[in-house]
Amino acid sequence: MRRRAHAAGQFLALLGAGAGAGMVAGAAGIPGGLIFGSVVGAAAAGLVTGWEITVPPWLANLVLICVGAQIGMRVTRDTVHLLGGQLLPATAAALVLIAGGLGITWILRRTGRSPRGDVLATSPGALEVLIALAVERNYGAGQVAVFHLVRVLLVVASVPLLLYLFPP
Amino acid sequence: MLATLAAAVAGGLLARRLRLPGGLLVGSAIGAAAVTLASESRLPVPAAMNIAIPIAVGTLTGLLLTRKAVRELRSVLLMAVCSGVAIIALGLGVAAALEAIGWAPPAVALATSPGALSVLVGTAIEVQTGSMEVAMFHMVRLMLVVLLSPLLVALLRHPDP
Repeated sequence: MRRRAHAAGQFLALLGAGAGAGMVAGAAGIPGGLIFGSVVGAAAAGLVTGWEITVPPWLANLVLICVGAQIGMRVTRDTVHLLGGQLLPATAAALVLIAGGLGITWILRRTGRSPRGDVLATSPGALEVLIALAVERNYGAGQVAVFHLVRVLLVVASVPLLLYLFPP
Repeated sequence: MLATLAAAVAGGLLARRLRLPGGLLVGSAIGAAAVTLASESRLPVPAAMNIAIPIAVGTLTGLLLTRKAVRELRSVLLMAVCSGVAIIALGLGVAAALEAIGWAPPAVALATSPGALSVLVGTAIEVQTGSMEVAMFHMVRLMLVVLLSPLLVALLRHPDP
């Protein structure tokens, strides 16, 4: 019981660090500051303290559902028509990114630096599926997971740059 | 509001059960959208949600970066960073190309960025631009990666041990 209370306290402290940093970054007017600041705040607090928190799956699921609900609440009939027109550019963009991942694998192989499971590691997304495939076929799932974690962290870190280069 | 949230939960859980990529987020969006469209009146999104959700998504993402994760990163860190930077640069190139030909959705750079679906959609919500388009671009990307995963496995160099 005491251990659970201790873990809950650590979790709340890291949540507080994330929320505090997010609020500060948001108030400072950094593009995407709420998200970017809370990523930095929570990660920094975790690395400094050495606390490793396993996020309860129900909480992660709840957050994702809230994000989805918030998107759904903005949908009108006009937006449905609008989204239909976005299918082609969305598909084209996805295919270019997937081809780019394959190109990166080709370069890594040419330079002799490709990890096992290279094609799965450099693919742009669906990390759960790709890591599961790597596990199933014994293709270096750990390295595949590292590549995807780094990609996600770099994307998060690049958010202010993305918004600066392409202001919405 | 309660009906919308209930539909979001049901849609999310159903999509996850069907193993759709990004199922929880996409399914809950579809569930909430179905109720919103059926009611023919757009519900105001509570202002607190616009602050709480980006912070929650960001904090949960930040918790992934632990000392253990950093130790595991070391052996392949350089290649992983190069790979990540290259694919992000490609995403920016795609965004520029879509803008040049007039196909760019709102918040195009968030839409064409290669990953971190919940963070990028959360950012679009935060800047109040193009969250649906961003979600759609990422859903299409995830679905295509999943559909093409047998091809990816076939392209693996090393034979099954």
